[in-house]
Amino acid sequence: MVAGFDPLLVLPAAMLFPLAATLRQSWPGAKACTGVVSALIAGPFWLLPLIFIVPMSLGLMLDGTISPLPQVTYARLAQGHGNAVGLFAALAVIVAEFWLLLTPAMVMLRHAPPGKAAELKAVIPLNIALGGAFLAAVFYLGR
Amino acid sequence: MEEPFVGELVKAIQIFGFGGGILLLFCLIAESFLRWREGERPFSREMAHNYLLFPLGPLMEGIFANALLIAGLTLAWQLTPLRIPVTWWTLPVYFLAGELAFYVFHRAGHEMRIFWADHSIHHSAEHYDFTVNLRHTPFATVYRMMTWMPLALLGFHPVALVVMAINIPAFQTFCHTQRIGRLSPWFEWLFVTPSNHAVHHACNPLYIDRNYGGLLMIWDHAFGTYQRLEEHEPPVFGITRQPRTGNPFVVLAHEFRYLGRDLRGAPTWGTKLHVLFGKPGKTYQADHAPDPRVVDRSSNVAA
Repeated sequence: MVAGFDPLLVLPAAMLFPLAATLRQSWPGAKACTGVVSALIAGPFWLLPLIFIVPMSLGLMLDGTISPLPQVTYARLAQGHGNAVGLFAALAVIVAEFWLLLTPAMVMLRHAPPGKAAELKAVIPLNIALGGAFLAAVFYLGR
Repeated sequence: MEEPFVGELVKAIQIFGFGGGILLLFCLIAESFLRWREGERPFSREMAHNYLLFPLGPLMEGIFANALLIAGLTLAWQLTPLRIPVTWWTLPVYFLAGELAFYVFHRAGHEMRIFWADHSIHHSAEHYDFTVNLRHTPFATVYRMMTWMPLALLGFHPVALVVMAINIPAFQTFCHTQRIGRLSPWFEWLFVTPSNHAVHHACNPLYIDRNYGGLLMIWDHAFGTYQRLEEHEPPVFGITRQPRTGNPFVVLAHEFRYLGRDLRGAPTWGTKLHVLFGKPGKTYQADHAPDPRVVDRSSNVAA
């Protein structure tokens, strides 16, 4: 093993893929993104861990274990569990916040049945408002 | 090692449940908001029923039903010398067992009349939206206990089994919507998705008693109950004997009423047993005058 290398760094490295997949889903032009490379590093396969990671992150925010601010989460977890876990948790917070604020609305618009997308556009400000209210509440109540 | 680990697992699943609850709350708000944007009333009568039936689910289960379930399964677990340890390396086994437990419980809820009388309450919604998640049923714990007992006898830890089999399939909460169309074919093959679960909630002959999975569709593929949503067959939501009433208590008692009537009318004990445990639509049916508050689609199903 390489001296000084933390094997747990695999965790934040692996978390980059769900982050890339989330960014892809949040991007309005994602439909045009059909290349093999983008499918490999940001394909829907990488969204699977989020079934657990997003609700867990929200639960841990409510619990007070992690903060909505990624840098605070990093500092808290790195102290007790090491830099790799801190970095992993900070990335998880970023991904969870995308799903709180924007991604569901973008996914809904992209997969809307034909002719319904225009009616559904209002879901974007709603998504931002609900997610923003939750994060603000967790942030201010947790201080 | 085992008991502290079970405690940690329960705590983790509770945290997961709280996070999922927040997401469900957002979905419910979005549902009413989008209905309003689409020019419909934000709350329909059926949605009101869904909200009224909510206390029968997480509240009643959280307060005492799950404790009874775990106590009953623990009794069975103590009878067997078999033990499947709860550790990091057995979690995938527990995950798959939880999915199987959910599948079997869910299938029993559809394919045995006595349980369908209860489970049909969830399915009697004619609109397929996020509020259908709230439409809970009072006796699910009874058939959870009966269908999960064999797994406890095989040595699966009751607490770990219950948290896996109830909380992980809760993912399908986010599938009760028609606002998301088809997803990638491989994803729909492997996972419960809005269109897979729409099939499950439909009463078209092609779709009836299909797609029982919780998070994965693997047990449906294994037991031959998987059905994809076909473009030429739009789903008709609801049940074959559809109650149309403004009274939520009538919705609750709907199939129990038919079950009681057929049970009383059944001529022999064998027929009575078949009425209780036979497949809905395939058992003895007593003669009755048509009910104006009930839409009977069963002739379409038999066709």
